[in-house]
Amino acid sequence: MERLRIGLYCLSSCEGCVVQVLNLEEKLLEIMKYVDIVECRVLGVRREEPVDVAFVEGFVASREGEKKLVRIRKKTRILVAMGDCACSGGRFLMKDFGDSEIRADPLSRIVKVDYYLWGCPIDQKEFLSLVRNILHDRKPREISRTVCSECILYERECLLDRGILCLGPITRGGCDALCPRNGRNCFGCRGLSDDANIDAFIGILQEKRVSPPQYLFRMRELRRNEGKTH
Amino acid sequence: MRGKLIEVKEIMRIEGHLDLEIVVDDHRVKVRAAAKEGTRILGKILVGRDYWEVPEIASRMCGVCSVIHKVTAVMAIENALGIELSEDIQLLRELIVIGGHIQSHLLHLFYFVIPDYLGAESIIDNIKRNDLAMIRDVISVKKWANDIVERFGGRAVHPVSPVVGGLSKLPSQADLIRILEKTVEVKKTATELTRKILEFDYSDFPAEKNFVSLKRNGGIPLLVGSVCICGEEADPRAYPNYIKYIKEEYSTALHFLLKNDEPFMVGALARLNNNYPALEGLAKDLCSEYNIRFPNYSVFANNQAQALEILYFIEKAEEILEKLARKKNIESSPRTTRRRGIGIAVTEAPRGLLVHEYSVNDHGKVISANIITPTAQNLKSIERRAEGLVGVLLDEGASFMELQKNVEKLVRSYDPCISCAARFRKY
Repeated sequence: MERLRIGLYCLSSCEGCVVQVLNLEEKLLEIMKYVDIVECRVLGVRREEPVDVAFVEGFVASREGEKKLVRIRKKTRILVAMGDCACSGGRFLMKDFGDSEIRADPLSRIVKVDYYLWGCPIDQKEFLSLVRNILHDRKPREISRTVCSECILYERECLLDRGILCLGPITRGGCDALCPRNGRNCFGCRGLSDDANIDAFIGILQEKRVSPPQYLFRMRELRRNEGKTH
Repeated sequence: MRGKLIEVKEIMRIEGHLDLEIVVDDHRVKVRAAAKEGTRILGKILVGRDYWEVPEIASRMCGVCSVIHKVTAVMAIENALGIELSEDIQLLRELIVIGGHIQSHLLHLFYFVIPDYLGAESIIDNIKRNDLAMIRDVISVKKWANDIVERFGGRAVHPVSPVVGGLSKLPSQADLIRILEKTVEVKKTATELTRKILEFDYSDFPAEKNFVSLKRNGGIPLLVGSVCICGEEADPRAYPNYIKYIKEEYSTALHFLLKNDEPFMVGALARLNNNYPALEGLAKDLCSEYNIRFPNYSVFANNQAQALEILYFIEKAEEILEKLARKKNIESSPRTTRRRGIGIAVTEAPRGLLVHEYSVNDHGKVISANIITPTAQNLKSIERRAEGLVGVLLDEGASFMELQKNVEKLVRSYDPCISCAARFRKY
């Protein structure tokens, strides 16, 4: 197996996804047997050389950010959007669907993105699994299930039944229902599941006497513009 | 070199994007610490939200110190709504915050700072040489600290269980004991790591004279205390009146000064300078052994203060774990008195004093938000002290490389977090 040359880059973000990577601790040492980190500002490495995989955190907030991203795209074989900021411009966490007039572009609006690591912050297991897949030249499997379908396996009392707004039924799974498992509502940070049915979800909320937040209607509108029927 | 503009782009081994500009003319040195973080104006996004959503978004100020942002936001909202918590919940929150602080201090000292003192470029050099002894020690303590946040907060980065009114999940006795069992080993390893940091030679120049932190009798305060501003104690709720902010054209962060226009320093060194008599246990023993005393005015001593705090906080965590593990039931029911109000929480983040301030209306919506971060308060001190250092180095005939290296080292010793500093405007 050839050693993989990777870079970790931050655009405008909290750098929590990079901290998730550093928090892998001995697992990080383990993957460094096969992987060279050749660029990472917080670790103090900067080489102006091509890389195999660029993991990019953060959204594009300015012209400089855009230039930086284009430079990264030019020198990498594979580009991975890391975290909700990079994947969606942070809109699923911030619930800001273009209303605040602040520039927050997802990476895909500027360059081609090969893989997405969803969530705020990214999930450590998903990061490791993606690195393993790339090392073996395999295409990672995409997740279509929802947070709700992962939560059900824990047989906990449904938060919606308690009148608490939980976005689990429409949110992309893969986090093993972290928030509901810890007794609190899903905040939707992993974005809409491909199969999300927002209309039906709004119906369920009304049935459970939970008032649907304004952003759900905005999400539905955006989804319709993207050509999805529900 | 006189008259020349030195520009250091994106200083490495710090949290966030900071450029440094140094202009030298015949009479003086001018340093600008320019935050180059694209601003996502969190303040604007927070206004109009349901109060319970605020901590979710506010914790995204920073991924290194997300724990304290989350807890401080929760505390400020609780203060606005008149929510009072049981002592057990307050202890658990302090425990989670301690986990976050130890993680942050270790990251700063052993990933960011230590290459400066070992003459290396990056900690990755050690890994490449397969020189892993120190890294394995750091990992074992860091894992224990992150484990605290993960077990009691749900996740190490952006924890999920601190919510307005308490914690969404309470720990089991088994969880508490599992962490407690490891403390003996962790203390031993952390003592060795702290020694490493204390043994380096730190320059006693430049010095800061104004230090601001929380102050409390009987311990280094994290979540509760009065504010100690250059030796004078004040009500934390009044703290924003003691400082003023200035907008600098070159920076995307807010910069702060004391009302008398002087810069000041917040952080581990400020905490120890203001609370040294309360330092106890292993950290205190090491101070006597290495003949270290506080107050210490050298900016570089912030590294020593962080190392000592790691030990102090481990023992504090042990104390809390023991106390909670003895209980049969953790008391959690909060008491609420009202639906609306103005709330403020002043806490100690790893990098220093942190303020979250919100007002909530009758419908539970946030109508104003204000966050004052530690690094925003430190930026002016960074600039002034860097100017002093550059002046002295130039007189000594330092080369450009030496100048850059030393100024970066100085900036790093403040442990700046530019993500925090640049992501807020008041709304």
